Amino acid sequence: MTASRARLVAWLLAAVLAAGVSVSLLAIPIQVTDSLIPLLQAQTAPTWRAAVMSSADSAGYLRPLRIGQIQWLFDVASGHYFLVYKSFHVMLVVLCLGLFTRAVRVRSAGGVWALALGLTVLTGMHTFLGTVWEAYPINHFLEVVVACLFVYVLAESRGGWWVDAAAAVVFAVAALTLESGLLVWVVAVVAWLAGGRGLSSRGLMALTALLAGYLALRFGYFSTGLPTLVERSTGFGTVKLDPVELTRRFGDRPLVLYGYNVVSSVGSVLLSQPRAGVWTLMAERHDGGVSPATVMNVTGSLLTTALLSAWAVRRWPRWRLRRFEQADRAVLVALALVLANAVLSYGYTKDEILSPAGAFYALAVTLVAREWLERRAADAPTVASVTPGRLAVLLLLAVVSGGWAVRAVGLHYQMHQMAHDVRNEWVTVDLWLERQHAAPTTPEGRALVRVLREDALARVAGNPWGLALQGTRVFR
Amino acid sequence: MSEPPPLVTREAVALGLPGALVAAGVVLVMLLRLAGVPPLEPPERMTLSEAAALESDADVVRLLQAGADPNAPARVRRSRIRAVGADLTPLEAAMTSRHVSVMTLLIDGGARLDPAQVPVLWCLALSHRNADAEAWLRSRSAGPFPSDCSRVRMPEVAR
Repeated sequence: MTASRARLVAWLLAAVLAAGVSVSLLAIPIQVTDSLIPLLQAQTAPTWRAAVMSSADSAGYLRPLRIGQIQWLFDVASGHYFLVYKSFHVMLVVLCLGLFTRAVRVRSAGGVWALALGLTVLTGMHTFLGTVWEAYPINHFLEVVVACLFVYVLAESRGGWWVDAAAAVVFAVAALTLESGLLVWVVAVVAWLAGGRGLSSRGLMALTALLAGYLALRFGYFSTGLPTLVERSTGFGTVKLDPVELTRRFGDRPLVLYGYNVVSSVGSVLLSQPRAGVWTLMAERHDGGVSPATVMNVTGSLLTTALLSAWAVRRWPRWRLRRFEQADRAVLVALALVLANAVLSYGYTKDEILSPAGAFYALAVTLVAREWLERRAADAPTVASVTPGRLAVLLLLAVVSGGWAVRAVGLHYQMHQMAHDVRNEWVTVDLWLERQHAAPTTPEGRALVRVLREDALARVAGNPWGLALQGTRVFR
Repeated sequence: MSEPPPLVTREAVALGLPGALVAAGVVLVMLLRLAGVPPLEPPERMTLSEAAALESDADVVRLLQAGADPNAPARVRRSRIRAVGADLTPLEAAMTSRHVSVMTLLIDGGARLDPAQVPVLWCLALSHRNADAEAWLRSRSAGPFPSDCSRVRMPEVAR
């Protein structure tokens, strides 16, 4: 297979999987929870600037561009809310898979097969699910994933002033959208330290200056501080704790919880346990039986992480001499991102917060697999006979890739389940708004709720009976 | 003279084939969609009773808005509630599946709790030991609430 043909097949593969995710995404109506209240607020904001400024100094966070984007799309939508917000989400999905494919740089048949594995790891990873099955009404976690992949691709490029400028703009937008946006800086720095010279040292200094500016703006000018224990529920051990319980248990020793969250987040990416801080493996065992989904998730992640670890051990002597190749860079960036992402999740941990780390974990797996397969093809002078040892390796590889493929299929199952649940939420939306003390008081507000409700109910998701078939035991 | 390296190693196939099959599955589903065959069952085959049995609140509302009769028995196909199919009113279907919230939607949509229907629903609630449904029925209807259900004509699916 020529390099150009391999690239063509790779892009076709990515396009097909992106189309599949997009179709499932379009089956989900705009949500009630997380989406409706921001939309009602966008409706009442007098101007875009006012919307941004009103959110700039909220306690614990600095996310002015999060509100800015919601407001901008609301103004653009002119009543076509589903079309505009979902189109934006689809665009992010396409960018995510496109940038991922670009980062892999397929050049051979081995690269194509590695990409096939990598795309199932990317989309089958539990951290990816949260980026596509819900939105607020924009999925900012997916935006951060796209930003990180974009800067990684820039770091692997030939460079130029525009590369430095683009990285700076992307970092600024990402950081002012969500705290996770700071991970863009981590990607740039680690890629540079590992030999990626697409970004110049001057560009890196500019990013660092922007990071310093962000910190000054957040903690100096706006004095937003950090989120407290009462912000959110989070998992601990085998249960999820609400803010009241968190305060009772950890109010006088929050560092214990923060440490647990960081370690949990690392484990979540590398081992698929715990999930959002909850050791579901133990919880399910206690409740009468571990689900096949959990067994498959943990086994697949264990084996894939073992593959990465074996690579790291083998390459360590070269790394000590500061000799890095593309796969080395991907592994090192992934490792740094897992740690940095986990640290940013210190307050509470959720699967989707870890989506940048999850995406780079998939990228590292893909590039290591590509390197290994290409060397294997080059080193094998003939098609070797299948010895028992080789058969065992083949079976192991098939178990790993098969498990990830099932998880990738599970993404679609869970998205369709979400579509069903979200439609049902819209039935009792008025009651929900009352409970949230957010019922609209203007005719325009009530009309917005009515339009979104009618749109959701008309968006038939198929017979839920098909979804009820034991799927939750296989896909998680 | 050595042979050229193989185009595709067995290891490559073992690692990449499942992912390629996922992509092929996506293509197949999209082709089926283009041909008018949705991957999940077509919603038009769902009756109001079936939507109630499956606790699909949105479909209950959609079908009521489309003019479905909330009091008419309709087919609930096999395995939706039990192994066999049955003709049930939407309220019976919801009660058999223990979905009280759907019953409220049905009442709001025009379903009647008449003296012929209430004993059936009551006995379904008793047979399922569904205290919520019992309380719901008592709050919505004056009865009758028979203590002996052996004389009540129960739907076959509930036996």
